[in-house]
Amino acid sequence: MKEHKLTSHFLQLWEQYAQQLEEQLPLGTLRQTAMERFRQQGFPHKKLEKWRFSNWMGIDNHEWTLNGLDTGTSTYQKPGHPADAYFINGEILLDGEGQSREMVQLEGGAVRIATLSYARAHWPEKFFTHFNHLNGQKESLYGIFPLNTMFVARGLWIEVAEEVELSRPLTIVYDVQAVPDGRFLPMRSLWIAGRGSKAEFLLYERNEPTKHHFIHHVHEIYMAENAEVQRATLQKYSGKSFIFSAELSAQLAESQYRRHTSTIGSAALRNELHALLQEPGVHTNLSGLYLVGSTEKVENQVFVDHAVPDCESFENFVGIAGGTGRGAFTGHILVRKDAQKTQAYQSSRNVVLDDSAWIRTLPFLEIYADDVKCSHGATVGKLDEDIMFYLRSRGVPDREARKMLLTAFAAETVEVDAEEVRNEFIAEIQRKLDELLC
Amino acid sequence: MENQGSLLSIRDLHVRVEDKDILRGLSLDIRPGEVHAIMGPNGSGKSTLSLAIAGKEGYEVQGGQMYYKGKDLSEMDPEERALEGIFISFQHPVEIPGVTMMNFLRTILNKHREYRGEEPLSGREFLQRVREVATTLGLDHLIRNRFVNEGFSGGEKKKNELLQMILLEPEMVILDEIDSGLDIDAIKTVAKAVNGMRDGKRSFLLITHYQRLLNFIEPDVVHILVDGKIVKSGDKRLAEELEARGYDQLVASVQQ
Repeated sequence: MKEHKLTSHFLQLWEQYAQQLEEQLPLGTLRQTAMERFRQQGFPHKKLEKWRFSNWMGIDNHEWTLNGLDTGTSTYQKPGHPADAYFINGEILLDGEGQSREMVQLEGGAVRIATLSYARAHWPEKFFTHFNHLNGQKESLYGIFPLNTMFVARGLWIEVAEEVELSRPLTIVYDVQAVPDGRFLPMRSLWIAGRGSKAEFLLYERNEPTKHHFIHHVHEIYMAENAEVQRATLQKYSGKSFIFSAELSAQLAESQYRRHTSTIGSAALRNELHALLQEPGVHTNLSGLYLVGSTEKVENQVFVDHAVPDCESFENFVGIAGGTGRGAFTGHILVRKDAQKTQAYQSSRNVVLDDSAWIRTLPFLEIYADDVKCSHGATVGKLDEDIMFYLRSRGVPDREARKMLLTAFAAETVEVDAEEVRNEFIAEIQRKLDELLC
Repeated sequence: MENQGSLLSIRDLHVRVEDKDILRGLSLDIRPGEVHAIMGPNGSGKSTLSLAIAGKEGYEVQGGQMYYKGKDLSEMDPEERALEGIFISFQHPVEIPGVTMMNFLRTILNKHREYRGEEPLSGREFLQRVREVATTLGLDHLIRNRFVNEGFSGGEKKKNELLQMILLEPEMVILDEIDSGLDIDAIKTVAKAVNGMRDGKRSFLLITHYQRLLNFIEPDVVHILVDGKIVKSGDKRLAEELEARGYDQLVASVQQ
């Protein structure tokens, strides 16, 4: 098998920093095990089945070095966007006022947001029940998963107490600032929604627009019985950064999960969503929008695992590519043998604006139960010329007509309840469309 | 050459669509305030004429000229033709998923106002105006929370074209088979809307297969279009004659 240049590079980094990382976040044998798995798998390359469309060309031109090993010396600015908590460079947690904290309590203690090392030190039992429970299951799949566990020292713990219903959505900003080019930033976020809890989160992920970073963020999301979680994310990374973002979720009985992410560009960004429907009565709704232009590449890899009966899942993904932008969607639905009465729906609709842009979409249904309702639809096309003509014949100029239709096409996936937040997402989408249409 | 005093002047127009010659030397002059009707059998080139005037891609003008207010239409984009005051109601209005009626109507109205150097309407003024017009057309239930033409019946789509016509206040209105598929009550609503717009200055071109519509909207001139050419023109009695004798007989008598 072809060896990726970065495999040996990261193994060297490991030799150099393993001890220091373990001092910052003691993980016992987990790190060592992950390293061994990474050594076996290597850094993922294009010959692998689910990496065929992941063109991370140029990622091996950088001598990635670890960020966040020196602590306490830098000062951080509170980002301009109002939020309940800010998480900076994968290492510093600020409260809503911009004060540095190790733990922030919100809504009268119903929600606790803490640094990973704080959670590790104060709630070790709960920490080890959840940490790497989901990512660990993926570590034999591709080397990209153990890479996170090997190097992670920083991250966030977000916990919603049992039986609480939040009165408002909570906002968290993930920011990367004053980090030099060429840095590798591994992060881990653990989300724990207690039994019967109901919470909504708005997430903003960004780094500085000209930076070369390799950001590797794994979210492990646990929803207990009857929990209801909504997460809406706006991803806006530099057109020069490489991003790997995994969202691994597991849902217990009768829980509901609604997830949306709008992705605006990036040099190469791969969203990896793995939803495990672990107990009956679960509802999962995954939606995503991706806009790519110039030389950007964005990919959504979705895997929905119907492990038990009586669950339903919905996937709705929309892509728009201009310039020489590249987009890809792969939707794998697995309905296991016992998962009768499963309902699973998938839709992937895409528009390419220029002949040099492309989007690949690949539905993949693997069904072993016989009493199921599954459907999927995938399209890649251009804007409807008859509709364009209709708008122009009513006095709307060509470019504005395109923007109007693309906004409508994109906005339909933006599943965010709060009107003003939805408008904020759409304004960001329209800014990107202006860039794609010029 | 354009005809002085005409709002729309078409000279010896030849139009080809998908390698097929559809219009073969059509000429037409419409003066301000006039109502013309073009009647013709299926395939005679009626819709091609309206789409060529609108400037749709694929409707290649092979010869002849079209002048509107003295300007050569071939040098104008579709949006410019619209903003200059040409409104065409299409035979098959498209559905626009994701674009709400309100957003659409407000955008097109304000585009026209901006072009005419007028201030955009405030949200309240706009709403009031749209409600008023929609109510007269019986469309008030379709302007809230609906996407343009999506799920509209055939008649509702046609009325939605008229709603836009009334809002945009064009100078040259071309209605392409606005009566097709409509029952008599709907035709009366269409006629009422059109007659309400007649002010002695605004011109109309009604393209229709049947004489029925002309019982309610009285034309000044009626033209018969056959094989891409106007073979006969006359006053409203020509439409009645056509209704009585049918296309075949009328065409045969012209060709003799």
